[in-house]
Amino acid sequence: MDQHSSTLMQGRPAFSSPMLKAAVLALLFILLLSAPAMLNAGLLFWVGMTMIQAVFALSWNLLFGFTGLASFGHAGFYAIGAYFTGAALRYDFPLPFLGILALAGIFGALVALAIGVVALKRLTGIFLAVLTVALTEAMAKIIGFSPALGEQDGLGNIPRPIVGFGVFNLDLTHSNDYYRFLLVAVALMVAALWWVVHSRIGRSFRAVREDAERARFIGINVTRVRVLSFMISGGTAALAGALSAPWTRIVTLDQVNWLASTQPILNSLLGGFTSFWGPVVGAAVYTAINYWTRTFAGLSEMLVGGILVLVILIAPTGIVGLLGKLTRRIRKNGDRT
Amino acid sequence: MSNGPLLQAKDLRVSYGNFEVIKGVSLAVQPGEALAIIGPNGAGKTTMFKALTGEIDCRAGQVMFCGADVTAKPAHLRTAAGMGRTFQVSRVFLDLTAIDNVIVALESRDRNRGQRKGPWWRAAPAAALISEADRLLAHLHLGHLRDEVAATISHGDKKRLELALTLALEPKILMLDEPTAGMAPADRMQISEMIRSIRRDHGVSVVMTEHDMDVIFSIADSVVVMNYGEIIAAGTVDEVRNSQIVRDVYLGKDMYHAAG
Ligand SMILES: Nc1ncnc2c1ncn2[C@@H]1O[C@H](COP(=O)(O)OP(=O)(O)O)[C@@H](O)[C@H]1O
Ligand SMILES: [Mg+2]
Repeated sequence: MDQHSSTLMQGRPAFSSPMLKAAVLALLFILLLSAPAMLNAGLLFWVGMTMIQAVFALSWNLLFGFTGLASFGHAGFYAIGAYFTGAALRYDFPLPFLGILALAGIFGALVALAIGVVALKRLTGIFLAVLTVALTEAMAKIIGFSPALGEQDGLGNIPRPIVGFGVFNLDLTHSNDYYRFLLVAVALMVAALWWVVHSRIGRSFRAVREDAERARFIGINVTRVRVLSFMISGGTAALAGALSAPWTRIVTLDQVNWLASTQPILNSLLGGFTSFWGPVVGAAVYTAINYWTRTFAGLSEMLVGGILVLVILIAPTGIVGLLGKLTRRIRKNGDRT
Repeated sequence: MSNGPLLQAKDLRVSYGNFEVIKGVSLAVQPGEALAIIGPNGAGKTTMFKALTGEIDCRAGQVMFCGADVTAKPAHLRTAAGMGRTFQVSRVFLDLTAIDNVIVALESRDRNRGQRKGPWWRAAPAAALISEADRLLAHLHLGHLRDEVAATISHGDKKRLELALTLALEPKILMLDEPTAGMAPADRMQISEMIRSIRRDHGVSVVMTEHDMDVIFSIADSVVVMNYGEIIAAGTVDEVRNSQIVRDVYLGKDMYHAAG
């Protein structure tokens, strides 16, 4: 790593040593890679969904935490990817699977571009929030009236793909194999988002979040920066949806509504929107709560709601922010004694 | 570039709603010149700055910069073309450290020049950029605050940090809206010495508004006096100081400290 340590380089650090961070990430990756051998199919499904939700939340938080814009209809982007990939596999589009994924991401980014140009050209962020909600509602209506997309019943029986690499084929029809593919894809996407946030582009995002007017007067094209962030965010959300379709093997209208749009928001706030890793932590904690309370109807909603209120009241920077505060306090006490 | 003025306003008019704040102001700044705009509070000095830099649109008139008409150009393009501006109430990126504030400005400058120091895939700022930022901080006596978050530093330090952001852009013209407002006298002298040395070393032009006449005398070549959105006098520092009309406007008050 670099000697240059700063607010731009790390969100507020919870585990401040980069070495420790890398070790934790490597361990996590190995654990996740060996998950199929250790977990039953039901649990593995939860783990896969958590990874997808983590990317989905990261995409939302790139916009909110790092660019200062809110989308309240991010499920619309997720659904674009999920339904496109579901339909492409189900109806056997003559496209390689990686091509389908790429197209899903591009569609998401293009829809974001269209919305962004309309909303952000002259207007403020509130128009973006409203338009994203409108996108999700419009998507739900279109899908609801499209027999090919399963209308109210959802698009089921989505086959898992066989990925062609020219010389060899990667058969992902078995869930364990698709899981490993999913893990690698998610890791690559997280790495790409990490790079965006910590690069020159990410620094211009943060400048715009901090003070758009000031950013203009250091020569930053604020509209372009915001639209770019929105495109990356929308494209990533669509990719998360695209990866989900062969995993769940059914996409339904439940993924295209207001509630689905709150999921990445919830995860980001729970884990901590000021930190890059916050949304990932949030997604994991959310899954854990849901899993352990799955037999008590309504309990998970109450717990999640309660925890969220607590987080907002006592730790507005989420779990990661709280951990950071604690480690700093412990370290300070350690120094004193 | 021609040898005409670097920055020129031609019959500029600005309104907030129906309220006309700038009523046909023309002025010119030659390359290397330092012009001070003075006048009582509410005269329209800040509004004039906003119109020149592109923060707000003008209702009529023209802004020329480097021989080109920039009236319709957005603020970031004027900045990229060489206007460096500070705000009356200093504005920096509060959540970032001092060094990161400067790095963001340096990177923006390089992006606008189509440059990049270091390979594209490298996320962290290039070493050359970091040392340039450190030099700038040291130059503005901010070295000791390098890793402090900007929100936590003092008012005077924020003003200097803002100046560092602006200098990072290597502007052709520095547009300073009350650069010493709210500072202690010693800090004021330090800032004006700094501005003089920047002019000496880089030959940049300066447009400034300022209430402290000592600062103006030490920096400016010429002065424009504004009142109620109009220019009521213009000339060298001495000419304006002795002008009857200026005295009338300030009604015998000590004009140098008239408007706080
Ligand atoms: N955003 C605004 N909306 C309406 N009126 C404004 C606004 N900003 C400034 N004004 C008015 O415009 C006039 C000039 O203000 P300003 O340019 O700030 O003066 P100065 O910088 O010379 O003190 C004042 O009468 C002020 O009240
Ligand atoms: Mg003013």
